[in-house]
Amino acid sequence: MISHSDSLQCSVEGKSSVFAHQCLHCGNLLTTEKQKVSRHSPFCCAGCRAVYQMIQSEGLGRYYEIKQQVGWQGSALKSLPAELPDDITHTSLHYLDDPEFLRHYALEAPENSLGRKRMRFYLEGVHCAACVWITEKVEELVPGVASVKLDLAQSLVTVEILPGGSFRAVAEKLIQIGYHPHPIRSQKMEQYQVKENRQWMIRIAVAGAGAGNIMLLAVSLYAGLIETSVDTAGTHYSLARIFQWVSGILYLPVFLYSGQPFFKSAWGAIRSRELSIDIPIVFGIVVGSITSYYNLISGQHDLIYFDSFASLIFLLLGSRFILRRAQQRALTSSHLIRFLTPSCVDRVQPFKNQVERIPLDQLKLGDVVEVSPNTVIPVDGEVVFGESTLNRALLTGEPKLEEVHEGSFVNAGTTNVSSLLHVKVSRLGVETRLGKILSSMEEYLSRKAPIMEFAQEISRYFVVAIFGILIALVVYSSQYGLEVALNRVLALAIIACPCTFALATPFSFTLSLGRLARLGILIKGADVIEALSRVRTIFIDKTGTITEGNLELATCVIDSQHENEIREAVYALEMQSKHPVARAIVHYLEPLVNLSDDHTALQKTEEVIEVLGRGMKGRYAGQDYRIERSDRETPSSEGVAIFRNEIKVGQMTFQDSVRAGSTESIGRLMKLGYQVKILSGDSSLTVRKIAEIVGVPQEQALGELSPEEKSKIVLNSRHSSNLAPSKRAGLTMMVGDGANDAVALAAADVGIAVQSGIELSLRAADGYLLRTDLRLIEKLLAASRETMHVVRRNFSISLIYNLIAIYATFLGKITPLLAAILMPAVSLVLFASALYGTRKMRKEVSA
Amino acid sequence: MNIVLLFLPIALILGFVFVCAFIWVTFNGQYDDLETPAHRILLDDEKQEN
Repeated sequence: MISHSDSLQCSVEGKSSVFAHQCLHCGNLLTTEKQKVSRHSPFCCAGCRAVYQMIQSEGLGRYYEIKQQVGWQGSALKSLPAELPDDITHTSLHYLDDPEFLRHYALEAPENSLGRKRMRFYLEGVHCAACVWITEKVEELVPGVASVKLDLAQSLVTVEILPGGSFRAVAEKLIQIGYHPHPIRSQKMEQYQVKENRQWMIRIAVAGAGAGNIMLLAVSLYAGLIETSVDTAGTHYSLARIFQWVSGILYLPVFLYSGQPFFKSAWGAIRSRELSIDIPIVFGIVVGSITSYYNLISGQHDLIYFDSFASLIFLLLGSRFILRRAQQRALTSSHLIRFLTPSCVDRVQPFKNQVERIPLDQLKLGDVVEVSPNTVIPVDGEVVFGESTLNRALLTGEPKLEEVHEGSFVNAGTTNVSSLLHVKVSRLGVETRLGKILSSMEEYLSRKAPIMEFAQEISRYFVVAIFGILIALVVYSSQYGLEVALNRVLALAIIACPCTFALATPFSFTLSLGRLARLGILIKGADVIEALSRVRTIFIDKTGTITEGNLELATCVIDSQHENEIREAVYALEMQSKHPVARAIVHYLEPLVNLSDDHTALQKTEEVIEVLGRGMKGRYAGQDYRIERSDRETPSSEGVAIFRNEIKVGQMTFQDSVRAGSTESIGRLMKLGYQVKILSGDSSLTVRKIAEIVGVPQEQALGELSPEEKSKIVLNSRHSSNLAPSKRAGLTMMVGDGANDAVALAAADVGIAVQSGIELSLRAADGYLLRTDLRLIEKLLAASRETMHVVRRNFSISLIYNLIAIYATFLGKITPLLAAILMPAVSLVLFASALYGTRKMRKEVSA
Repeated sequence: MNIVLLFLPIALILGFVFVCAFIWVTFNGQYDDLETPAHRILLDDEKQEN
């Protein structure tokens, strides 16, 4: 079990490579020497270690085997913070047993299981089969549980408990094995969606069964069954006739039931005077079906087309359904506010020295809430007691900590880091800044005008053209008699069936979506791919996207003969702080310091005091040390000075370094003609420096922006674009992470969220990257361009085919039967073309 | 009598039965999740030892 102790063999991008050092649990690369050479199994953080030990102690070690088996590479979205507070499993989940809460969130399970309750959770951090395995194992591990079922695609787990069971126990167990559950309230919309999906599937099943059986019969008919006859009790039946009639009967449910979505859509389009491609499809199907029945009854038995139309309906339904499923999502943003703020808060009771734990919903304006260290602040309000530092990354995107004291105003969603605070509530729920951000995000999302799709535009012309040609055909052929005219019209209707729009184009998109997903680029829908191909301006968030998002020690200059001792002292003192600056210092000094053990270093320190927001002081080996922030911040870096016995002996500067490959990626994008702009909440100085490094012109890099300001800039960019004011104006794309980018992501034409683990940006964005790497953005844009290339190629093929076929129909060379064969033949060609398109793409859009 | 006259109704009834089975199963929720079962096949059943 611990045999794979120090390293894991990993396959990176399909090629097996050297032993890499990865956290045993989550797969993140280990960055500090200490972690790598540790004799115990290496982990990236205490959280992963705790989860690993829990998993092993429950006998669930198979989880890791399955993970390897399934070939999961790369790091999962980390759902747990790096430092697990001790009581994470115990105190914060009591509301899950509260009957009032359950009344809103749990459902009574179906009829035959009395007393059982069912609740759904969104589970952060699931990504593969191993997660399915271990999550569903919870059913066995926790008493009183009837079933646990995970839906991998939606990250939803459905838990059903028996009368004596507890959802809290299940949630605790889930956290212990490393996943973070968020209860979801079932909404009417979801029930409706489930019902609709089921109906679709049944329609497809009926169409498939019908088409299959009809074809079975049709094959015999094609093979020459016409002649066989049957003699029963002296009467003469033709087997062929029987088969034809059965075909006709089997076709009825397919036509009337499975075909309904098309009829409804076409009818809806006609009523709103829109030209939709469903109109010619329905026209073709209806004309063809009626003709077939007419021929069946009137005696021209050979001219029936039930097999073609049944298969057509089946294929059309199938492809539409696949695309539909790919675009359905379970989470709505109304769920998200619960993810980002705690469900239970500690209210300070006035005049008593006590706190009571109540659900957030019961809080009122003017109440005072106690916020412990390492807890998310649940409300907007004023600090009435305490001094602490806050992590406001949710709103600013910056990893730096800010100090607050009595009188300071704090926001919901930010994290209190160091000490206890009492906050007086001034805004709750949707009124908080976070709530407002969520609302405006929803608003932008709903207002996003559907981008006029290439296919939709062409299909309008197509519909008009087809009807025009149809009329011309009737007029022209009527000189040969009504029957000939009808035949030709039918042939035309079949030929003109727009398979390109209906089948090949969705197919190309689905292929691309799948290909991108394998690269770690998850896109929500086909229209996003098309929009991407028309993007001209790219906005990129600075912190966490272009840069690593962590503070790193850039330079450390020590000017003294006691260099080694000073380094040890700084290391030992800073090790005792959780501040990001301290962590950066420790990370940097670790390989430089000759200490056999952290313990001996700690033992040499005495009287260690952390001065909030400023630094550390204490004694090391008898000398007094002070490490603190310089009063004057040097431009673009935080300067920290080291004092030994009150003499300044050293200076350290920090930076947030640019990610590997960012500069090259941005360079390539600009060469391709995209306008690249940088948006950030960080200081303008820092932003300009980063812009210089990556090669973005200074006037296109803007700093000190709030989330609201970022979205305004993105919106304005579209309107003031200097490109020709046609519908095909260049679109905007935003790449960012975290809640501070959420509104901008929703405001842009295409928003791409990078790995951040924040569900909010996942909801606001049109797609997200599992790895933060600007090269993936390049691949995404290349994929969208190539996909549209294939789509246009398919249209050309289809157009040529249509022209030739229509001409031939006018000449009377095409019978409806021939048309019925040609149509699937051309569809196959188009499918092949869509598949082939991949080879050109394979070069640019590969791992 | 041509044997096909016997096969045809049987085939149709069989088809009908399976479509009904599909409808029943769909309403019981088997197809609500189409992705996860694909992953589940990779997991072995373990024998419960109790």
